[in-house]
Amino acid sequence: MNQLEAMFDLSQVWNNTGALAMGAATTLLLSLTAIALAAVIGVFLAIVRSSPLWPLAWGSRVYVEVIRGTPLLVQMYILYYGLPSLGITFSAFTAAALALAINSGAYVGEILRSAIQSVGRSQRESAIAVGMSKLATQTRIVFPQAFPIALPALVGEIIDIIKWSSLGTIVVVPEATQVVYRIVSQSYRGFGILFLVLAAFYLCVTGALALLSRRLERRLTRYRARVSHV
Amino acid sequence: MKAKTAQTAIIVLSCLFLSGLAKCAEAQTSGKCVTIQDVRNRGGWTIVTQIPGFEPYWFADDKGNFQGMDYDLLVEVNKTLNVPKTNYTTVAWAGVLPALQAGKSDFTPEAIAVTEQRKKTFAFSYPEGDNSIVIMTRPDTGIKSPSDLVGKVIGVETGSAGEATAIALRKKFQAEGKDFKTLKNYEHNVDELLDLGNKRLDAVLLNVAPVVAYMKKHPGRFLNAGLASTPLYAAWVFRKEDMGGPDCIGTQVNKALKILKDNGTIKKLQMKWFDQEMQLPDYASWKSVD
Repeated sequence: MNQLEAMFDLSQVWNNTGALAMGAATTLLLSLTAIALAAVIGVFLAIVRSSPLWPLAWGSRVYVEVIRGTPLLVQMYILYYGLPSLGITFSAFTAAALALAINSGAYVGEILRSAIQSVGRSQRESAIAVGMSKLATQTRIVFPQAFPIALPALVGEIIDIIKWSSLGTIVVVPEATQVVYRIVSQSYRGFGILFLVLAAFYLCVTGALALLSRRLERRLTRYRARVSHV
Repeated sequence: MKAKTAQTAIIVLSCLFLSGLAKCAEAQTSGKCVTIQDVRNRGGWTIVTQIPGFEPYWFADDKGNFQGMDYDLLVEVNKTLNVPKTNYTTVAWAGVLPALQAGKSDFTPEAIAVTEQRKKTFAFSYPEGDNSIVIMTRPDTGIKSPSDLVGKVIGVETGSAGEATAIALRKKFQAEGKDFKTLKNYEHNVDELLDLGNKRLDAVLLNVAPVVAYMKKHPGRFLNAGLASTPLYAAWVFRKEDMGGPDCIGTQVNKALKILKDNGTIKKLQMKWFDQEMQLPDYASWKSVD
C-alpha cells in the first residue's frame, strides 16, 4: 500500500467512531464548563473594574494584565503540574477547565467593560432625568444596549475556548484532539483523514456558533433598524 | 450572486487540493527510493528526530551536543557508507514518524521499539539493542508484575510502544472481566514521571533504557517492576520503499549495520552506553519489511 492511501485510510475513522465520539463529547463538556466559569469571572471583573473600592479595582486590573500577558499553555502547565508541589492536586479535567476559564475570563471582563463604557453618557443621564433608579438605568438602559455591542466579541471568545480546549491534550484530558492523536500514533495510518475530520468537527461547532451569533445580533439590534427606516 | 461566487471558489479550491493530492500520489506510487548516491551528492543525511531526551540512546550533554548510542552508531555507519555528515532537525516525538512518512527525513536513526503496529506502516533496520517496555512505579504501590496493574492508574506516552503495550494488556485484562482504573495519555515522558511523583499515577509503562538512566540519576524514588510484556528490539525506521533495491538507503544502512555487528562495533557501543551486551536477533533472518 502506498503512503497516500495510508494517510487517507478511511477505515481508521470507521473503526474508531466510539472513541472519536467520546473525544468530541469531552471537548464540548470541557468547553461548556470553561465558558460558564469564564462568564462568571468576566462579569465579576467588569463590575469590580469600576468599583469605588480601589483594592478591588486595582486587583482586577493586575489580574487582567497578568493573565493576558502569559501564554495559556504555561497557565495550564502551572495549574496541572505545578500546583501539586504546593499540595493542590486538581484532576486533569478540572485543571484544564480552570485554566481556560481563568484565561478567557480576563478577556470577557475587558469585552464587557468596554461595551458598557461605549453606551453613551447621555443615555444614562436621560434615564436618571426621567426618574429611573440607578439599578434600573443599568439593567433597562445600559445593559440592553451594551450586550449587542459585546456579542460578536463574546462569541469570538467562546470560539476561542472551544479551539483552545485542544490544549487539554498536554494535561492528559482525553478530548477530541488527544483522541485523534492517540489513534494516529498507534500506526501512523490515516493521519491525513483523521486530522481533516478533527478540523471539520471544530469548524462545525464554531461555524454554528458564528451563525447563531449573527442571528441573535440582528434580533437584538432590530430597534436600530427601525429607527434608520424612519 | 455572492453565494454563487463562494460556490465557485469552493469548487476551484477543492479541485486544486485534489489535483495536488493526485500529483503526490503519482510521486508515491512510482516506487522510487532515495539512493545512497542521492544522499552523498547532496552532502549528507537530512534527519528529523526527537528532541534529545531518550538516554542513553539519544540525548544531549550540558552544552547541547548530541550524545548516545544512536549518535555514535550513525557516525560509524557514515564512515562505512562514505556519507560525509548528518544534518539534524529535532522536533517533539509527536512529529518524528509523520516527518519520515511525509518525506521530510531520510530515515529515523533513533532506537525505536519494533512493534507489529508500526511494521504495518514502516520498515525497520537490523536492531541495535533492547527497547523493551518495563513497569516503572513507586515503592508504595506494591506493584510487582503486570497482573498487579489491574485497578491502577497507568500513564503512557502517546504514540509510544508503552502505549501499545498498555492497550494489549488492557485487552487481556478485559477478557477476564478486569481493567486498569484509568489509562492516561501524556505528550512527554517527563510529564509522566512528574505525575508518578505527584501520585496521580500508580505506574508508567516506559522503555527500559530511559528507566535505567533515570533510576541511576535518582536512586530510590521509583522502582523498576520488570517487563510489561515480551521483549522488544530497538531499531531505526525507514519508509518501506527505501528498503527496496540494493542502492536504496535502507538496504545500504542494513549492510553497514551487518558489517558493524560482525566487526564488534555494535557490541562495543552497547558496552559503552549500557555497561552490558544486549541480545540481538540473527540479522540473516530479520525481516525489515513485513
